Parts: sequence; C-alpha cells; structure tokens
Amino acid sequence: MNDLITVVDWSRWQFALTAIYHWLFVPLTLGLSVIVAVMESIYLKTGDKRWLQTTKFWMTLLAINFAIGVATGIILEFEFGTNWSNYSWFVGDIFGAPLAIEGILAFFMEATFGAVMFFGWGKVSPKFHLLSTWLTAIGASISALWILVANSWMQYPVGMEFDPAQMRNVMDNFWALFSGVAINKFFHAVLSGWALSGVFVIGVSCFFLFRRSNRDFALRSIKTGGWIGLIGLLLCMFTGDGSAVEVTKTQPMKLAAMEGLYEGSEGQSLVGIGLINPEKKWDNNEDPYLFEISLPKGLSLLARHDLNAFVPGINDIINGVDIIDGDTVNTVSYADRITRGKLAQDAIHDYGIALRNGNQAGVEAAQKVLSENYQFFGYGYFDSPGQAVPPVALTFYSFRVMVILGSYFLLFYVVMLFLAYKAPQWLESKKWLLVIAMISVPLMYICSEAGWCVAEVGRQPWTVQDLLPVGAAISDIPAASVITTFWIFAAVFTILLCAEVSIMIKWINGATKKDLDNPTHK
Amino acid sequence: MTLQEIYAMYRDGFREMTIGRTLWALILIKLFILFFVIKLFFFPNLLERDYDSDAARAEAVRENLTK
Repeated sequence: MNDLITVVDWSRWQFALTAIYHWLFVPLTLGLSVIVAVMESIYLKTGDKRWLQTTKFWMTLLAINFAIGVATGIILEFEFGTNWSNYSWFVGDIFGAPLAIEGILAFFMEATFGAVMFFGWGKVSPKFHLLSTWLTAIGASISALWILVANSWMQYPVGMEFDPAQMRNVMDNFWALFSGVAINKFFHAVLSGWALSGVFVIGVSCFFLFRRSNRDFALRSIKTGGWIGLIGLLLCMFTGDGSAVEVTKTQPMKLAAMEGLYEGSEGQSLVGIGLINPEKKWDNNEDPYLFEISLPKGLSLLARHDLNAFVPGINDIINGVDIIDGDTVNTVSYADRITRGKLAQDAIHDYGIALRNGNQAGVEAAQKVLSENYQFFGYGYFDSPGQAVPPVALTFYSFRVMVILGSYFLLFYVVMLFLAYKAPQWLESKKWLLVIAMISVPLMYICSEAGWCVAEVGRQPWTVQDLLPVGAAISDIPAASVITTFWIFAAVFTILLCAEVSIMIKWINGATKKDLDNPTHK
Repeated sequence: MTLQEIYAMYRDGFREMTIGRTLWALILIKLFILFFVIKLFFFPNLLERDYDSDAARAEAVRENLTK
C-alpha cells in the first residue's frame, strides 16, 4: 500500500514536472509566432526594411524556443504508457485520436511551413513567405487545439460509451469532444500564449532600452507585442469567465476548492485575498480562512452570472445539494456515489466472469447494473467522501496568483503602450521601470503555470473526472523506477531550459551591439 | 516550387545557419536521449510489452480496476 502511494505521488510529481517544463516552451511559440507574423505583414505592406530586421530578430528567438521545446511533450505520452497504463487503456481512442491528429498535423505543418519561414527568405516570393509564417502560427494553435480537446475530455468526459468487453471508453460522438469546456480551454490557453509573448517582447525590448541600444527597434517591438499581448490578455479574461461558468456546471468541486468554500450560499462572496486555514477539513468545524478580504456576491456573479445565485461549497457537493433557479439539483451525495461506484465495479468484475463462461444472461445482468451506475464508477475506489476533495490550499493560492498577476499585466500593458506612444523618452530614462518590465517576464510565466495548476490540481483526485482516480489509473511499477526517471527528467529539462535561456541571452546581447534600425544591416 | 528548389532551400538554409547549428545539435541530442535512452530503457508501454492481444490487455485492466 505504501509503495502504491509512493508510486502514485512520484508519478504525479513526474507528470507535473514534465507538463510544467513543457508549458514553458509552448505559450511562447503560440504567441511569438503570431507577433512575428504581424511584424512580417507590416513589412510586406509598408516595404520598410526596418520591419524586416525586426521580424528576423524575433523570428530567431522563436526558432530558439521552438528548437528547444520541440518534442518535450512526447514525454507525457511516454508516461501514459508506463506510469498510467490503466488510464491509457481505459480512455481508449478518445484520447488517442486527438493526440494522433495533433502529431500528424504538427509534423506536416511545422516541417513544411516552418522550414519555409526559417529558410525561405529570398528563396520564395515575399507573399508565400508571409503565408508560410501565418500558417506556422495557425498550425501551432491547431496543434494545441487537439491537446486541449484531449485534456478537456479528462475534465468533462463526453461523447463516449464504456464497453466492458474492451474495458475502454469508445468514442460515439466525435463532435461532442468540442464541448464548452474544450472551446473555452482552447481559447484561454492559446490567448494566454499571446499575453505571455507580449510581455516577453516588451521585457526583451526594455533590455535594449536599458542598454541604450536600437531605440526605434525596441519601441516598434513594444508597440506590436504590446497590442497583441493586450488583445490576448483581454480575450483571455473573457474566456476565463467562460471557463468559470463551465467549471461551475461540470466540476463544482474544483470551483469550491478554488475558493476554499465549504458551505455555499446565495449571493456568495468571492475571496480576493486570503489565507487558508490548514486545519480546516470537510468534516470539522474549523474556520476555512485565517484571514480573507472578500468581494460581496462576487462568486455568484463569476460562477452563474447572477448576483444572488447559490454557489455550492465542498460540503454541499458532498451532501448532494445544489440550487439552481430555486430548485435543488445534483442530489446524489458522495456517500451514494461511492455505493453506486462500487456497484459499477462489481458489475464489471461479474461481466468479465460471465463473458469468460459464455453466460449471456450474466453478461446482460452485469451490463444493466453497469449502465445504471457507470457515471459514478470512479467513486467506488473511495472509502470516504473526503478522498474526493482536491488539495484546497494549492488550488486556492494558484487561482489567486493567476488572477492577481493577470490584473497586474493588464495595467502593465496599458502603461507600457501609453509610454511607448506618448512618452518614449520618459520610458527610456526610467531605469527602474525598464527593470520592472524585464522582471515581468518570469512573473508572466508564473502566472501562466499557475493557471494550469488551478486546472489540474483542482481536478484531483481524478485523471478522468468522476470515472478514474489517480490511484486506479496508475501502473503496477516499482517506486524506485519512477523516482529515478523523475530525476532524469528534472536533469534533462533543466539542461534544456538553461540552454534556451543562455542561447537567447547570447543572441539578445549580440543584437544590442548591432544596428537593427539600419535597413542595410544583415 | 520545383523539387530541386525545395532541396536547395533546405540545403542553403542548413548551410547558412549560424545559431541554428547549435540548435540542431541540441535537437538531435535531445531526440536521441528521448527516444533511444528514456523511451527504450525506462518507458516501455507496459500493456503492449506484457500482453499479446487486446483481449488479454482488456482482461489485465479489468483485473487491475476491480481488484
């Protein structure tokens, strides 16, 4: 049992580590590719060679990020097959199909149009080159779509039917995968890449200003990156609102954990900042917060777009109580879910025996019980409702880090754009402001990772919501092997990250000594 | 573009790379580590490795999920 807990925990850490590192590379590719495409479009429209220089500089940083980041996501698929073999089989083609499409699409679009984008200057017509740059950017986003569709299915499993003979979920409606959860997640994640890349471009440009180098290039870049980043951030906030509404409907426990909310109410307030009481559990009477400053009715508005709506807390959900438009809904308590989950598991066991013995009546009887209870299948692995509650503190703090930093970046974009247009000399002269802009780059990465932390930690203990908890999804492998590979990945990814940062710094440093504002510069 | 032009684009692109040479070296080392070290020695697909047929894999998962 202890070994199982160790394997589960280390496998989770390993997956978190690889996903976090992978997400360091992805959002910059998603956003910077769009920024570069816009810069090249301006160059083609104006014929101004300074825009060509600007485009090529940022395209090189895109190439560095792309080269270091490419294939880092494949490790996650290795982990599915080794650490999470029950999960891999159980999710069947629903997870496999989007990932296969992603692999093929990413390979062809990136190998074809990415090569033209990086190698094709002067070899193809300017219009075809621009088209390739746009198609590379669009291809990266389409590639992300399939990954995010697969991830969304884990949050909100739809469009499938469980086949107890195959022991896997079989897709019966491909289009159902594009649920509200998936659409919001896709736009939220991709647009967060725009927001991150805008901050990256501004931060690097401010380094040029700090060094008093290539002033016009830096201001041009701040304006382009700033606008795209600001648009991305505003749309990100809009889709974040959509995601909150979807989470309320499909994963109310995650929403309650994001708020540290145990007892829900009508006109529920939203905690702006606060400290979670570590002693608080679902089954004691401790106060949930040590300290909090709340916005009255804020959570009701966020979750249900209604100031007076009821929002359930952790204990309401455990007790099977939610109220929508005055009616009590979601009335299956966690105790009942556990009972019905165990019935579903017994039915699958009996189904297997009946199948082996050629007992058709037994197969049908088991199938009937399974159909009635499958939606609660995963709860059968728990002995107590508390085991189905996500880590509240980590989800709560991650959400606040994301929102507070996101709000800071809204202000950051407005200020930087204002100064770039209206007071560039003032911006150049304030070293402290330039330093803040540079420090904002790692802060933006923290903001972006915190968003994923909310999504994934808030889903715990599930790999597939309501159907498969992590403890059941895990493979029977030795803990030592998982611990060893964890450290291998930690080393490999850290080396890759250091390589990326050092190559980028070298390239940026070198560029500060060149004249990027001179169109004759090569 | 003709096939010859496409070939020339890749050839010249690789030849003219400056920072790209380092990047390609990194990509190749990384892919080698991922596919020929990590995947081969540490990350077998357990169900593919341990069972011969889908039916056997399904039975193994049934056993794992209902024990």
